[in-house]
Amino acid sequence: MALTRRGLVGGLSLASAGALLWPLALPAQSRLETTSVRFNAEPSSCVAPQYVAEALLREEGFTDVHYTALDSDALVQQEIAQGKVDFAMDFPLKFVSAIDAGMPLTVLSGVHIGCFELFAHEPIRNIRDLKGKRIGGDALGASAPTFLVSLGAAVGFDVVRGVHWVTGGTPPPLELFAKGELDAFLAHPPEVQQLRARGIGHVIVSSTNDRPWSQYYCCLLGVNNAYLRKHPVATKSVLRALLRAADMCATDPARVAKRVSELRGAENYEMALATLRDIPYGKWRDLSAEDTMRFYALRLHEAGLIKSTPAKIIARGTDWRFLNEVRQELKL
Amino acid sequence: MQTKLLLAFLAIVALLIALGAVGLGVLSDVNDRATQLIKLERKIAAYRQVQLDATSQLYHVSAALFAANEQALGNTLRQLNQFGYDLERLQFVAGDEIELLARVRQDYEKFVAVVTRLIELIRAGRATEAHAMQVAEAQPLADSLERLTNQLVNKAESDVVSGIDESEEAYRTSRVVVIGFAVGAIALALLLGRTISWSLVGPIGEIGARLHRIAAGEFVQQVEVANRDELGELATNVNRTSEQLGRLYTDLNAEKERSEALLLNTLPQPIVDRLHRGETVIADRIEAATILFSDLVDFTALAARMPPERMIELLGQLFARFDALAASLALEKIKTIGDGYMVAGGVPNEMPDHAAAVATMALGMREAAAGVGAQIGEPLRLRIGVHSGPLIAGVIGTHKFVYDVWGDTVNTASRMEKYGEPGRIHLSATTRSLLGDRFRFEARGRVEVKGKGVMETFFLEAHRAVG
Repeated sequence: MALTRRGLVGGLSLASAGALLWPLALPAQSRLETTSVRFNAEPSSCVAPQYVAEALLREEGFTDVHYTALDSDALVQQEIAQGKVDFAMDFPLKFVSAIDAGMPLTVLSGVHIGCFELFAHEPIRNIRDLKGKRIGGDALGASAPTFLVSLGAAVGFDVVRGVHWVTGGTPPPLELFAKGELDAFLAHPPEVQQLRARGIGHVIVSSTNDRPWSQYYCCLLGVNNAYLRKHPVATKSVLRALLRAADMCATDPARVAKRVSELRGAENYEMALATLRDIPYGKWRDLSAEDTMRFYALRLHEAGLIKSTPAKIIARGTDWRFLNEVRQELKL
Repeated sequence: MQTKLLLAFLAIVALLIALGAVGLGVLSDVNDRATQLIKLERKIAAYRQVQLDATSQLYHVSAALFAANEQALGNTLRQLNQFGYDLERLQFVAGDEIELLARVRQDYEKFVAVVTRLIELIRAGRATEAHAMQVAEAQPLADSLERLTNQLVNKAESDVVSGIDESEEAYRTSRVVVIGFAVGAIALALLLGRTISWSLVGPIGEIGARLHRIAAGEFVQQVEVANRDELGELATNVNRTSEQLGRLYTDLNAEKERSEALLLNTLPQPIVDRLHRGETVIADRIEAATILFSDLVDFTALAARMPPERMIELLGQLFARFDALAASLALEKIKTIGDGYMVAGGVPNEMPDHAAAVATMALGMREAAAGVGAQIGEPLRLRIGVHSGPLIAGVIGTHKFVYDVWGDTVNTASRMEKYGEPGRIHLSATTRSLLGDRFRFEARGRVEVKGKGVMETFFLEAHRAVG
């Protein structure tokens, strides 16, 4: 993604805002092993920190910040593992599955909670009511469907085989749901905000508000193992920038929404703002990323979807050193 | 051997004990893990209790805000203090979670302080402030407590999963170990079996085979057993016995051959063969045979002039020549009686030209007697009688077997000898007619023979010259 002059100025002003909350002394930035970093270009606006972090990354010393568009959300972990992107924010279940599959990637931190919501038409009231129904959303393997699969597995309901999954096409599934041609729709920002604004359906599951999911991260930051091994200082700098960006999303959602809508021209400012207000970005300080990994690994393990124990997943695919250092810098 | 067997059994017992020890170890491990899982379950229950209590406190506070009365507030405060009991239990069952427990206690103390302050505000009628405090402070603290206890629960559940995973791994390892021990035991048993077989069954087989060979009459080969135990001793004894049996067998064979030779001196070979085959009564009717009797003329007077040894020597020389003649003509020597010599042709086997053979024998005997007489300086003359006809031949007696012939033919032949003349060969007409014109004869005419009446007899002179 090309960085415009306007964007750079906007980013820097945001960076200044973010800097107010964070200590200024960053001795590590002069020793970056690389000034290049690549992210996935995620369509969901919930990863706003990733975009607004660009200016912060430049402040940290990065000169080449690149966003790579992926064919599918389901491929995020493969792209990290193959080194096509260096960092990506994604759903914990997908990271757990990838680590169980032996992909060379490492989870560094959680970024925010939320942000899936399962909308349905009457008379659907719970997960089991979905049996045999038509559900719209991202393709299986993407974050939101993976979340729903884990929900079903927890109550012994095979979502993959038990529902008619509708993805893509014209009109898009969201519109089909709006017309009542689909029974349910699994939404992520900004679809959540759009459906809510249009008053379509009712929410039967909200990962932002409903327990236990609201007590765990929805998005974790993962890094390619080779990048982590070769560039530990840069890795920590990226993490700092992302967490600072999350703080900015929490403290000044209007400015961030404006920034996001500028960067991603098609993104509606109002929807972006609604998203930023819905997602409690500031809670990253309160939650435990390790416990999030453990929680989702337990769910996948009990559903028989992974073979590794949670302890092995955490030992093999997480590294909290940088997060702990950042927390120490913030005196958390 | 006893030591070897003892060691083998001890090895098997040791292996079984090791297998049992491994099994006990596995069971002990399973027991430890089960105990650990129970402890983890206790932890989880305690964590959940704290979570429940925190939520319950919030509920009571909310209820008190809506319907404040002194009793409800008192209950809330009392239950808040009881909350500490759950924390103490948490401390008791999860003492190893030091950091998280410290944070739980910290949040709990803050929570107690906030709720206490809330109740004070409610009692003071400052419900709005109390509500604001509930939202701004009590709720986040309750959330934090929930997350912390969630962390504890997740860690405990994760430990349970790890424990189960380790149990499964331990089971797989134990299975490999037990199967390994079982395979090892089988291998050792096979090895021991092979060793015992090599050490025990092998030598026994060797000795058995050796005994079979001994039974088959082979005494030379030795059984080779390297054992220095009872089996080695047994093999040595078998070898020694084999050697002794070999010697005995050789001696026995020699004796047998000697007795066979002796038997052949008194019995014809076919008769000996028949006796060997198990015939006990041998009495054959011979339809055509020729009997010869000879007697040394004036032997009594000659014997009186000679020392006994010399006389025996003389008879020995003479009869040896007769025997040689009989053997060369395939005639059967029947017996000698004093100086008399009896031979038969066509006995025991049929002989087409038995009369001619006996006639040739008679001529040879006469010549031999003359020869021996010349050697000793005494005229030796034989009186020979020959007759042909049917007879009975057989063996008589149960020991000291004698092959003999009986019948009128024999008696007539004897009569021919008795009525013969010194130095001449007296034939019956029957024999004469059998001899045809191959010999020269002198008709003697009619002779009165005792018991036979008048008989036409002949003297055999010599072979008729060919041409």
